[in-house]
Amino acid sequence: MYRWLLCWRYLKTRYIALASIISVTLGVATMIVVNSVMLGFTHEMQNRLHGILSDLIFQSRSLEGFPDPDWHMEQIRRVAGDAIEAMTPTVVVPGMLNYQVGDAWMTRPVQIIGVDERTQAQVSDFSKYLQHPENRKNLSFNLREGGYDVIDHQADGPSLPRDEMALAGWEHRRRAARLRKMIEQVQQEPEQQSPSQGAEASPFTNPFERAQTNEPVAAFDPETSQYTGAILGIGLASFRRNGQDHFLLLPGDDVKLTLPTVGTPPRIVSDTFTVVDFYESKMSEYDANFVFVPIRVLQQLRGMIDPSTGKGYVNAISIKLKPGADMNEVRDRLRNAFAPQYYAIDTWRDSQGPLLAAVNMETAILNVLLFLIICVAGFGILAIFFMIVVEKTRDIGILKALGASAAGVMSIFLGYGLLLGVVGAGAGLTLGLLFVRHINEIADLLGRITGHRVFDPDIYYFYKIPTIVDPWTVGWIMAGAMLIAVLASVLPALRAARLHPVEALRYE
Amino acid sequence: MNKLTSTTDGLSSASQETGHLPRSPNGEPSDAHPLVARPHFSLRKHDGSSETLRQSQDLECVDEPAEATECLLSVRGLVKSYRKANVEIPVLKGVDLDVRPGEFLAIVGQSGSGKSTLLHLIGLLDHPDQGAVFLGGDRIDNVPVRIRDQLRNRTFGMVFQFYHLLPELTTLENILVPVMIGRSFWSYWRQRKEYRRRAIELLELIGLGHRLKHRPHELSGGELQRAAIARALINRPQILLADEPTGNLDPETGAEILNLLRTLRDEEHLTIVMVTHDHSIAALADRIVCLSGGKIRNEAT
Ligand SMILES: Nc1ncnc2c1ncn2[C@@H]1O[C@H](COP(=O)(O)OP(=O)(O)OP(=O)(O)O)[C@@H](O)[C@H]1O
Ligand SMILES: [Mg+2]
Repeated sequence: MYRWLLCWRYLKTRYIALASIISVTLGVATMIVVNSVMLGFTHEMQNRLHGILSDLIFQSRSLEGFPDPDWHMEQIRRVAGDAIEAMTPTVVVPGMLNYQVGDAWMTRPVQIIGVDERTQAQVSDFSKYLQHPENRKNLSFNLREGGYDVIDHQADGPSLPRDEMALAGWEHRRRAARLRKMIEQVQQEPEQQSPSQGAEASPFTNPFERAQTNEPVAAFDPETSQYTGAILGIGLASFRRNGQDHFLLLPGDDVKLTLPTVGTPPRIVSDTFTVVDFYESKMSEYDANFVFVPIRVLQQLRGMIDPSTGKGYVNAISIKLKPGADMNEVRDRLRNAFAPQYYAIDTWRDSQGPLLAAVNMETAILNVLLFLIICVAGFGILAIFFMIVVEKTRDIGILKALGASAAGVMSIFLGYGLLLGVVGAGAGLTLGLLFVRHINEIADLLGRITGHRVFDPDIYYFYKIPTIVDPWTVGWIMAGAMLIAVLASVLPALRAARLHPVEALRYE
Repeated sequence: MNKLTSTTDGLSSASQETGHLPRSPNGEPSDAHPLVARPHFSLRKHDGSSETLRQSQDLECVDEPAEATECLLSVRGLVKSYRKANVEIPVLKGVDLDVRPGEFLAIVGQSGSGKSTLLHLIGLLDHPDQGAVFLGGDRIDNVPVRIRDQLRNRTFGMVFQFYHLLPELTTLENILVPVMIGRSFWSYWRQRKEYRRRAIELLELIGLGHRLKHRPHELSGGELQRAAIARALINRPQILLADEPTGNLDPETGAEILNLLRTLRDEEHLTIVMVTHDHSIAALADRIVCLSGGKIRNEAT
């Protein structure tokens, strides 16, 4: 009893001791914040990666691909059918995207992916990332009349509306086609038509449809028909400034894709596609890279269809496993079954291994560094406690003279350390959790003060800093901080316990 | 550790005896040593006046405390010296002393004669170089640490020369410290009201009832001295060891404290050993002995 009474009194009368726990508090708070943010990022990233990639990817090592995906899928099902929920073949080929903005042609390197519109959505979150609600339900490469999302459906907070998207669809395509016709007329009879009228007709001057006039397609009316549909990564068609997305082209516009054919040496082929939707996974390297087209069209374009059988080559088969199936085990089974010189079989984790490992490494290093801060706080406690023990020598003598045991005296200081640890870690917990809770407001505030955005959604494609508070991590941090406070008080407590009562009483 | 065994044959038997102190046979609380849990001596029949000097018996007492029932506290051949930088300062050179139950004994001696040292040895705050301390016939200076702590807590009440109250605690809390030390958290918590009541009673008895919430630095010397006495008495000890309880007080207050001690002796069935250098104060005790040259010289009252 006297121990707790004295602990409490010492805590109340010695505010200097509180100074030493401020560092414990700050250490704990920072650790909680860092871990929550890192975990939030990792989680978000893994979710997205996993959403973009299927569980397992069965790939050809060559860009030429392998023939007869149906036969391969059958083989895969024979090896690991019990664990497989769905599969879809894909063709992947690097290529080039061209579209016209104003008078200039934009050229972007892209990854062209041929997907099977029936099965693609079964193996990954592909359709979740599309901008038209109908496409999300039922993927189609046909241009929709309109109704594309103006508000980002994935944003879990307030986001700036994408007003231009309201115009996307057939409406946009027809208007652009009419405008193009008008311009043609103006060019033929410049004296009859004033150019300003044309500008009024459509404020969204998007005159690159002129390019299509060169197409040797006869009787193709862009007002009523479309080319093969393509889904563009949103980063290819837009840029973001101050959180507001600006679009260079919209669903309904036409683009050109250029790609190498199979065969040695490859030839370059090119074709026109109509943008039918945007793909936004919020992983910028994917959003600025991927162009999805129907697999059959891509196979034809690349010459991947075997004329004798009519079956197409594919580059990869994406596999979704049943819930609860062991990814690595299935991968190993498949690896054993297929010739490794032709096929690369990886889980989505394997293919993103370096990235995930880097994030884990970062978290680990940060934790070590921050824990060292708490250890430094421990030395502060040690020094202050030693001072207090020296100052309280006489009182310790009194307590011993009145019958307090060495263990009892020791526990005063251990308890004092624990109390400081509890107070410090508790304050750190509160501070850390508050910080995590309001991290976006704090980031905004910091951005306003420093004039430099702390968290730039232009880079991350997140609107908010993702955070996850893992109770176990928090528990470990708290326990560690308290343990350090107690450990730091062990030496002073031992010293107090060893004091000789008579000598302590004589101490002045 | 026990140098006595080599010097005096009789003491070795005494120390052997303490090796197997009987556990309490009845339903005493098991954590209390029988030495500690000994009930208060109720025999206060003797007048303590006629046969205080027993020089002839003292010689026998060197080995064994004479008449264990009559001597509550006995000290035999205590030797204590301090060592500082290889220089040995002998302070006590063989002190023998017997205290009867209910006696008020004053030890007088010059400053530096070793009075405090002797009291610390009796109160088990320190170990003697040689010699032994007996409580009711049982040797107590070499008992295990746990029992030492209990004896300090329950059996002896210490009033220090310089009060030694804890500055962080109020008067009332200071007085309750020995109670808290002697009991576990829960047993104290359950009976805290009762202990508080006793502490307040005690403070009122010694005239400090109006100073419960004051910190030591807000009290006068006399008040501190009284608080220290109250603290020494809170656990109902058998023996009160008072080191210069009037040292820093004016004669009137000193006499007041002395009268208080005498009253307490009567009311609480105490045995008091007081140390002082002031003969006029000592004169108020039942018996006076003189400590000089590291030995006890008896003096008649
Ligand atoms: N720790 C120590 N180291 C060395 N010498 C000591 C120590 N403690 C006490 N002494 C010496 O022992 C002697 C006796 O000290 P003690 O305190 O017992 O005297 P005292 O009789 O109580 O004196 P006073 O009346 O002034 O209180 C003194 O000479 C003192 O210097
Ligand atoms: Mg003294």
